Amino acid sequence: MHIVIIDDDEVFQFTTKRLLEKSGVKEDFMKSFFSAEDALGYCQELPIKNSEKTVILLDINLPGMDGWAFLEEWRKLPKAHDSNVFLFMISSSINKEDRDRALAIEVIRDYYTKPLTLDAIKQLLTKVTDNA
Amino acid sequence: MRAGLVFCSDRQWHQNAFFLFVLRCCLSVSLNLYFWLLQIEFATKSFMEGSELRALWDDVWAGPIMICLHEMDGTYMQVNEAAKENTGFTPKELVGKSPYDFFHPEDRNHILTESHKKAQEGNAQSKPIRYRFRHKSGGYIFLETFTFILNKEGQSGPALMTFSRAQHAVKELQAHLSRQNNLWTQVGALISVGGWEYDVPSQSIWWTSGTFDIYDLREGKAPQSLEESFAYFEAPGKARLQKDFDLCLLKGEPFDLTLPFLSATNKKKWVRCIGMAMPGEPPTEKVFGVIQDISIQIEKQHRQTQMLDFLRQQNERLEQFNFIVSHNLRAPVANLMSLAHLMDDTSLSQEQTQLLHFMKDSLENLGNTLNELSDAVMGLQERNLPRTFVHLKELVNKVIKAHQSQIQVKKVQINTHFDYPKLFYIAQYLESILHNLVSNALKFVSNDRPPVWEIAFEKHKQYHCLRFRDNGLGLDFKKFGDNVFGLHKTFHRDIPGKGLGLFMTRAQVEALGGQIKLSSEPDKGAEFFIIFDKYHFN
Repeated sequence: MHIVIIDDDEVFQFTTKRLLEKSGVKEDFMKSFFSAEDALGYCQELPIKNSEKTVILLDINLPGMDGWAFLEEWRKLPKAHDSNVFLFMISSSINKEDRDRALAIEVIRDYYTKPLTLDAIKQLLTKVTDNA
Repeated sequence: MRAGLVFCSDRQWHQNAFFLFVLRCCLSVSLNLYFWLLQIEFATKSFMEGSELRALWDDVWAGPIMICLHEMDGTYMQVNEAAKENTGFTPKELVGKSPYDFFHPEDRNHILTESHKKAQEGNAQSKPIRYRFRHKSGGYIFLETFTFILNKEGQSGPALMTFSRAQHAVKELQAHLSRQNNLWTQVGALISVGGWEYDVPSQSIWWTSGTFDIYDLREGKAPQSLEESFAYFEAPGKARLQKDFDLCLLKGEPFDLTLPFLSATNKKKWVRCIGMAMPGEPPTEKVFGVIQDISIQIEKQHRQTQMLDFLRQQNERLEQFNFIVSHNLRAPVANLMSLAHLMDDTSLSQEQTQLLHFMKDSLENLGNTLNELSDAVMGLQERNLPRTFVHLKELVNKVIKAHQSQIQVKKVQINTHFDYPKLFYIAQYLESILHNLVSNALKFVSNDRPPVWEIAFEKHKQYHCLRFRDNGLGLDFKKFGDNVFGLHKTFHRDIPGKGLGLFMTRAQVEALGGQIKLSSEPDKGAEFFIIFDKYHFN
């Protein structure tokens, strides 16, 4: 499993990595980006091997290209629609509008509100592994 | 009055009966006439002999009633002098002519069927016929006429006789006009409207008093030229008015313009100017219309626009504020929570563990408050949530179920009442309102008595409402009043209220055009009374 964290918040990246580690994901398989542009470049090049799953954790509020803009570009790529790619939106917004808007986009698997707890991370990972 | 007949000889019977019949017919024409005839009839009682009768007939003939003798087709054979007084035409001018030439075209058929034919067939009329007759001066007057057939001995054939009286046309018309004029002036003043007319051949302008008022000019001093009357309109509008006015003159196109205006006393106004050409082939001979002072309306519109702009700005600010709460504030708080949870408390001293625990609690409180604040702001924002028919029983059960554990622990007895099963409302709002009322009531349960709530959806004459009553701690409403609904107001030191619930509830109720009231007494309970928008019911 390969995990991409897209969030400009250093503390969030740190805590998420720790929680992922606690859930059994090795740090070597995590990649984090502070900007959506950089992440998009990386994701475009991302090789999708058979059976290897890619999890993208995307924040909404990003400087420059924000989460929504990233999605606009991302959904155009065939990769985005691959059954082995799992994109989750992780936002501090508890607004129903943001949540509804996110869940209406087909490439988004689910929406999580910050803070991500250990339980939430585990649930998220279960969704990925169960969806074999 | 019938006594007159007694004095008649058999020989005179026919003539006399006719005369009395005429008198009686005329009686119903008018009261004035009635008294005049009374005198005559009185006279007939005393002198009803051949020559006296003749004299009397001469009197009637010379009286104010227009009496005419017609051919059976209506052509005037003989007309008395009263014709002139009534119609303006002398007997000479009428004799030999057909009365149909004088009847108003619209009344001709009515006269033919209701009077002329009936009289030809010998049917007596119980009521005079009323119709328009062309007066010599040009206009039409109203005439009231009795017609009947005459079979006089010694004459070549049957003839028709009419008794007519002009209704005091001029006087009536004057009264009518003056009444209309008064009403028009009053109505015009009420809505600040004036009338105007431009006569093309004479190039003359005519204004009603309302127009003078709008121009702030003394009545009677109308402008001598169009130029002069346009001069009061301000620059760009003036050219437009001139253009449209010319189009109206040449092509008969109507116009309706709202223009800035500067009156004779330099008062700035907004006027609406409507004009149209007299019907007929263009170019027209007359253009007429109205001018209305709409300064107040325009000013109101301006104020409304300003208000809308202001509200839009406020809404934008709320959105920005909500964004800050959602992201800039919530994100670091979320981080702090995560960090606190990542902290391994096994290696900490007891005091540090305690500190960490307090920190986590405080963070949780902060997080919850931010969530509520975000919700509250969202509640204030204009959201296009649709109204639907909300099943009230289902909704109440749903909300109670969400608070089930607390309700069970506190052993709350809930009585519900539904005058109406459904409400056309925004479901999310109603749920949130109920949710807030329930959690509010839960917070204020008194330890001295078993809690009893009443949730009643009541139907009143003018409105539908929700009454939510509890017997909890209540509060001194006189002291706090409307503050209960303010942001961050808490009233019980020992109860952890964040003060957002009621603030939101009111915002939601008012957003849908409703009203919320609270009555409460300390230690007796509280009653919330919500009137829903009365215009949106099934």
